[in-house]
Amino acid sequence: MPRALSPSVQAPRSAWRSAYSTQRETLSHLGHRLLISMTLPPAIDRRLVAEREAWLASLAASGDWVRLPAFHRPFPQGNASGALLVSGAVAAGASAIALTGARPAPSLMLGGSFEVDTDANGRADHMQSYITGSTGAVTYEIGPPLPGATGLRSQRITAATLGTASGDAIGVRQDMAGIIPGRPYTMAVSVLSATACGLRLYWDWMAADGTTVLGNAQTTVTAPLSTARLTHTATAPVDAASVRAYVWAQANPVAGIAQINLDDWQFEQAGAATAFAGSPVLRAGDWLGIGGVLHQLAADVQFTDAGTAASCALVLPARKAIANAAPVTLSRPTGTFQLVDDSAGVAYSPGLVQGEIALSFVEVF
Amino acid sequence: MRTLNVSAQALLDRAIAGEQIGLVQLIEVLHPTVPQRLTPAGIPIVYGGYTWLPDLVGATVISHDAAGLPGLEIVLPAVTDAQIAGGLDDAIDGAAVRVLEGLVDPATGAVPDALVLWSGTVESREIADGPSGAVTLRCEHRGVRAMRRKPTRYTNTEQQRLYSGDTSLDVDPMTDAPPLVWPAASYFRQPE
Repeated sequence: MPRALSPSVQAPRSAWRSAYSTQRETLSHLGHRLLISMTLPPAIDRRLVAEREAWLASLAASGDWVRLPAFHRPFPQGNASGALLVSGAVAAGASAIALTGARPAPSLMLGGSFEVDTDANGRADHMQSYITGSTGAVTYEIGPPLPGATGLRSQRITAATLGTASGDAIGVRQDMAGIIPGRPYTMAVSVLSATACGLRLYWDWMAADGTTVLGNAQTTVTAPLSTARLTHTATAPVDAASVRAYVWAQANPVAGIAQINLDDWQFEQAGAATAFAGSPVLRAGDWLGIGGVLHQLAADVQFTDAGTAASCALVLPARKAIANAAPVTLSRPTGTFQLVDDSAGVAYSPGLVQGEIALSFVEVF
Repeated sequence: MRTLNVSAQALLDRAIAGEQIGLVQLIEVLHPTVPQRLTPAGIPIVYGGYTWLPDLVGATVISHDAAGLPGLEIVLPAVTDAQIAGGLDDAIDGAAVRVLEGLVDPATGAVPDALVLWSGTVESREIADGPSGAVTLRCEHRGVRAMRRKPTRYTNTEQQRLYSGDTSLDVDPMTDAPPLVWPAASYFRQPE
């Protein structure tokens, strides 16, 4: 982090102001660029001094191009995380983008509050059905929220005649990536059962190639007849890269109708369950890295429970066209910058003290 | 006079109402084999089915003189071999040049319409290589060419151009008008 940093924006435009109404008309010339001016403090450490000298010399040799992060805000203020993607191609000059794939940190799950069912199949977006064994007709519905849960909806799963064998089950599942071996993971879900049955919180640890590393990380409880928050914790084994998590009802004491209602399902890297994170958000001023370009959000973005945001206003219009499904970097995004002056040098004073270095960079493509 | 289409007129109305709207110039040099479509704006512009490349062009102010037929100088980079080759290529002489101007929708980046500000042809060029490389194309307004004297000659080619099929001037002096050979004076003095 430099001693002084001043990010700013270059926005060439022509304006005309009425002498009488003082109303201003402005035409933009679409030369928007981010500027970063910084000052590196004097240094005496021999290694640092040499590194800086080499860095400045190599800048000149490489056309003065360098990738710089937003030093002052490398991580977003909002809790959105995960593999965000741009939803829909955007032309250069556009001032808003749509995003998808946002998870509310610390949860790794998409749509855990079961609020959005885009295809109206009764199952919340990103949730897959899990039906096995003797169940009779199974119905997925979006129901009212459970008491104390966030949002306006919950997931209801009903089996007409759930069998009593251990392999008879109805539920939902979701695959999540980004598992770190050796770390504890906790699943929590609010459950309300309409009938007396068993309930299992279950997950399989998967390797990067999709094979199961270790199954049966599970706990089996009696499905609560009044809303309860159930949790289970397990440690990711070696080679685990992703997880396939399930919640299911099973083993009806007497074969017959079974119904469970699920809400606020969360899967997080933690030794104990934390409060449900809700829907992801990003805050005004947060930086996104898209296609090697830094973009700053002009306003808060509230994602849906399914992790989508239809319109995210950008401070500067897109300087390059953005492809559909372009990945978005939230953590330490960088952009390509060029020294404003042709080259910068270093000056030493007696005692091999490297003087303060002032640098100004402008964004380039 | 051409008017803007509905979308572009709506953008112009928004600009007049005070909203900041993007305005871009688009410069088209119709080199016979490598047409150049460039914009001095800072972003690539998609218009007319082409992507107009940003930043790689500078153009002089189009100043209208008394004749109303201003010239134009376009400055292109001459840094890469391809750019230098483009500046050296004779084929660019006489290439058609157009300058268009359009408003950019700030929400989508689209240019709904563009009007032709200037059109003409490349008249001469200059290339400077060195610490700063530049190709300068000097272009003349199409009106200059229109007003230039065009001598017409009393020839069959010109007659065919003006009145196709009229062969009145299709004559060969050697065959259609052979030299008259008069008999010698002795011919008339021959005895009867």
